Amino acid sequence: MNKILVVDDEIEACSALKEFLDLKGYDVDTALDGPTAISKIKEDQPHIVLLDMNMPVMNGTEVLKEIKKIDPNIGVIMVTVVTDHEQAKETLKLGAYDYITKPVDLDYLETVVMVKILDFLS
Amino acid sequence: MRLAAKEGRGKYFELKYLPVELYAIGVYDGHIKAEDRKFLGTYGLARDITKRKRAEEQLMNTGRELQETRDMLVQSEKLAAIGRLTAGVAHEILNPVNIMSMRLQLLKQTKDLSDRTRDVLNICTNQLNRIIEITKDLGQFSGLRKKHVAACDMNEVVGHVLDLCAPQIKEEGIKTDIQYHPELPLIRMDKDRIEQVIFNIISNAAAAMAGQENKTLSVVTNPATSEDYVQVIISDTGPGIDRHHLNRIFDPFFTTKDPAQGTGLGLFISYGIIRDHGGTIWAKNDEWEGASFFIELPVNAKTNREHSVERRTEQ
Repeated sequence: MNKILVVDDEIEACSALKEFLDLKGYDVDTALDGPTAISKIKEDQPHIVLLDMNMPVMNGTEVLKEIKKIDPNIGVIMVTVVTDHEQAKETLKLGAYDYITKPVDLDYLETVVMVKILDFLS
Repeated sequence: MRLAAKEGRGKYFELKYLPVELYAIGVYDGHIKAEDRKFLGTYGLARDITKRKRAEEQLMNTGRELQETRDMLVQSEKLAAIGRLTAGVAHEILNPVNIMSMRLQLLKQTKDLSDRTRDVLNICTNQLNRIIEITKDLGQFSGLRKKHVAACDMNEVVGHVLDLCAPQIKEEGIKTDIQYHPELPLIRMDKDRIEQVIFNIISNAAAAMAGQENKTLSVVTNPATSEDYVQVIISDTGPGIDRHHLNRIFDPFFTTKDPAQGTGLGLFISYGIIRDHGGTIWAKNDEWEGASFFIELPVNAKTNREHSVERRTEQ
């Protein structure tokens, strides 16, 4: 119950998130764009996906839609820029479990992930 | 005139102080010529050109107004473009800021950090937070936020902001003197944004009165002198605004507060919001003590950039 896929076009953002979540005991993989993320999801079936909203090629919303087609039960947490609240709320309607804003508060992120895992388990 | 007349060409002359023009022609007929054909004089036709002069003046005025409006539109467009650019830049800056912020958080979780190291990490985090505040403020100009325009009662809007500020007002011992005009026309506005402006001004007023014994915040709403506007006046009993600063208070990043206390963008953003509504915002120092901020909003807000706005500061 602890596979997480981190998707962000910034390699350093992926790296920092992976390091944090590794420390907390999760099994973390990363992807730098939508297409890679989707193929990894099909292969590895993570429980949770941390998805950056603003990516070139395929943006977060498009990736979200694809993920929901593959497996509607995956917990997708959108990572969005602080001024894009409206856009973020839209993603909740599309099936995202929650959204967190950049800059990411790691402790808060951990809480959101934990709550989703508990949700799965119940 | 004589020359023209002699040459047999009619010529129009405008008299300087009368809206009258004369058409002078020479006449070489027996009527005003002497027997020896000596040129005796000219006759002419005087025509009242008052109407024509007025029309010309109006035309020139309209031309001038059009030019001014066009200049203001260009200025507005420039400001809007700058707004979009700064919002875009702010967006981009957030990515490296995000990475640094996460790395700092991770570092802080390391065991056995010296106190000094921990202090330095905290300083870095605080500075990053300052950058974040600025980017949040700049992001206001992105236009990505949808405007929700609806007809609203300004008294309700002011009331709502005062409710939000109530705890702070009470805590700081600020007396309030609120006068709502009973008959305000509804105004088309983006309520959240206008509330933001009023909140900003009230916050500034509270800050201005810090450390004083007598703290009174007064807010007045009334229909402004010209029919289709509503006015809100927010006054404080602080030390007033330094007269050298009065014409700079709406500039971006202008602040008299400690850098840790704000980005200096509050009034700049407020100005932009009011301008977007086709309204006016200005400030002046009151006769006895303190300063007043005036906001005027038109009943029918043009929330695109066609309305011209003056920025007035009275010394």
